[in-house]
Amino acid sequence: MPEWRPQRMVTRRLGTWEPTAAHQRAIVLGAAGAIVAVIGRRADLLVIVAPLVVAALWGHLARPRSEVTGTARLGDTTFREGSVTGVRVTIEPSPPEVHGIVTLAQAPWVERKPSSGVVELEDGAATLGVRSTRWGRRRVGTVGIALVSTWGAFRVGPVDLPDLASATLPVPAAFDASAPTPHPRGIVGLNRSNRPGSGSEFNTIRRFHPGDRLRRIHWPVSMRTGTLHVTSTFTDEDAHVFLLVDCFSDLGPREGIDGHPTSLDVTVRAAGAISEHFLRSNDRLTLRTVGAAEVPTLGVGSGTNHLRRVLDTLAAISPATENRDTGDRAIRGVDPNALCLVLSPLIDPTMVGLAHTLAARGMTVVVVDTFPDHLVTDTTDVYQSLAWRMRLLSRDSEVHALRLRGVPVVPWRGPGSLDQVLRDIARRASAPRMARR
Amino acid sequence: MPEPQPQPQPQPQSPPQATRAKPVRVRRTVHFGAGPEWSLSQVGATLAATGGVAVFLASLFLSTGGFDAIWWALVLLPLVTMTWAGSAAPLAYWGLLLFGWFILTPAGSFSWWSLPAAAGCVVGHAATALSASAPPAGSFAAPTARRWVRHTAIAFAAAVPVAVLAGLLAGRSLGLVPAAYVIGLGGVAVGLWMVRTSPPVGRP
Repeated sequence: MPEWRPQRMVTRRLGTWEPTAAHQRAIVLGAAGAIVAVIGRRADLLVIVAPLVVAALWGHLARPRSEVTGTARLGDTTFREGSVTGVRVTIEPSPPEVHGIVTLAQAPWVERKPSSGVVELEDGAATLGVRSTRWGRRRVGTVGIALVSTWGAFRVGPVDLPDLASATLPVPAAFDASAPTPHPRGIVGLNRSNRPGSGSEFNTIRRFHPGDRLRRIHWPVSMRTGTLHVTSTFTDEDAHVFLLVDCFSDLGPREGIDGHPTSLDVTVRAAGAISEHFLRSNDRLTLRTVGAAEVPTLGVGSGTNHLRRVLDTLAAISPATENRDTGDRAIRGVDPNALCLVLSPLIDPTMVGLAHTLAARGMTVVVVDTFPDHLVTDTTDVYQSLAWRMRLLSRDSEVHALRLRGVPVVPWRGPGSLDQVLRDIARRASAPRMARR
Repeated sequence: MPEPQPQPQPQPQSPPQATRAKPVRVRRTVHFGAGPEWSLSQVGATLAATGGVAVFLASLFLSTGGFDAIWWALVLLPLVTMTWAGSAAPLAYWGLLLFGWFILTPAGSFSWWSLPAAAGCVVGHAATALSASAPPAGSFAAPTARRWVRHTAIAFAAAVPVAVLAGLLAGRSLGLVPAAYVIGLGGVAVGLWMVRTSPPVGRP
């Protein structure tokens, strides 16, 4: 499969001008009418066809002689769900008095503005609006161009330009967490550690040591004691967050950004929101997917650029394209101190097994349940309700097994979803524990 | 993986000025049953073609003093064939209409009603050609419509001197009938030579 890359601008020659049915009609009616009028001595018939003769000659003499090139340019190749960009179509050269029509074919998850996808060229240029309603990588409809000359006598096209391609990034759901990330280890983050050092969290006031910064001197205590004292702080550190995204199933009707989300919509948007939160806190983040083919491997990173890479990777997910994926490759080489967040609707048993495996390695694992509630609230179909009820009973037993192992399972609720569980993990980490010797 | 550059946010350099909002043009479309979407511009073009046929038939009616009522059914042809504006259907029904003029009017006669008939014919031809230049849901901007109206009026103007000349010569025997044949047919031949396709269009 060739590597995907966005296609921002496409160009194609529109071909040669060819006579239309209207031109042939004017010629045939004009010529035949004139002949019949002369032979049949019908002067009034000659009057009637005279404008058609003029139209035929005019259309022929005013026909464009140059070959036209059409160009379509996409305003943005990467944009968010629900956002609008433009497709600018131009022709070069732009013959005078040429009537041009641009069409944009319908494509899944792309809304056209105007909705018919048909606009008229004005001075050789036209602009169509495009709104992407779901995350993912896709083609933005096929752009077609048709030009007709004066009197509609000659025509070029409709010619389809090569497809424009764009990536729609998921709109991260709202998310915030006030609880600290467990196991901070790095040097650039915002999480308070237990080690004294340069940071913002107050530790104590102590005697001045060579190497201390002068701005740390605490003058009231220094004046009172007669010796220099400084304010010492705890060092700020960054943590490593490991996101494991379940791409095995996409449950529910796909309605895009304007409708109810599918399970994968919830998963992807939650992954985006969690990534955005931790990366803005200067934490390091790793994203792995299970069950999706052709998803590029993303390394550890932090910062805004890494957030863009994470969202690009999420946009590349195609659900259930690698059903034989056991997930072993995804959890290989994970930092043992990382906070493992498993985002899954917990329908496929592989993800439950992976959460068990990570927990068995002694890692801090939290399962974020992304099963959308609206899937089971529809009671109109009795059989479907019954099927869901049976499936959810089985799912409850799997969730119970995870909890018995000490893996918390929290439903995705947006802001504050992870607060309580992260505080519990921090408290558990500082509590005395029994160790096997 | 390509890494998109962050878009710079535009900074306001000056206090916001009162700007005149460009009026939003609402493009209305209609559906006929389960058929495709039709723009009002396309419907208007079809109605203009229908009007052209109606004017032609009315002129023929007044020129001949009456004809069978079944001929009025031809008014509906542009409506029925609006989907095939870019096909040979308009050629067929306009050929039928001109044939009707030929058989219903006596040889050697001239009627000034041929002038409005010529107007109806050229309006019908232009409206059908304009309709064929865009898909059913496509609209025409006002400058486009004005340009087509201007071209149609200029083409119709050619019928006036022909009608005046025919009116002056009607009923007179100038003894130039063979020469008129030669001149007329020669003009047709020259016209066909001019509109020939060069080089000829190859068949696919």
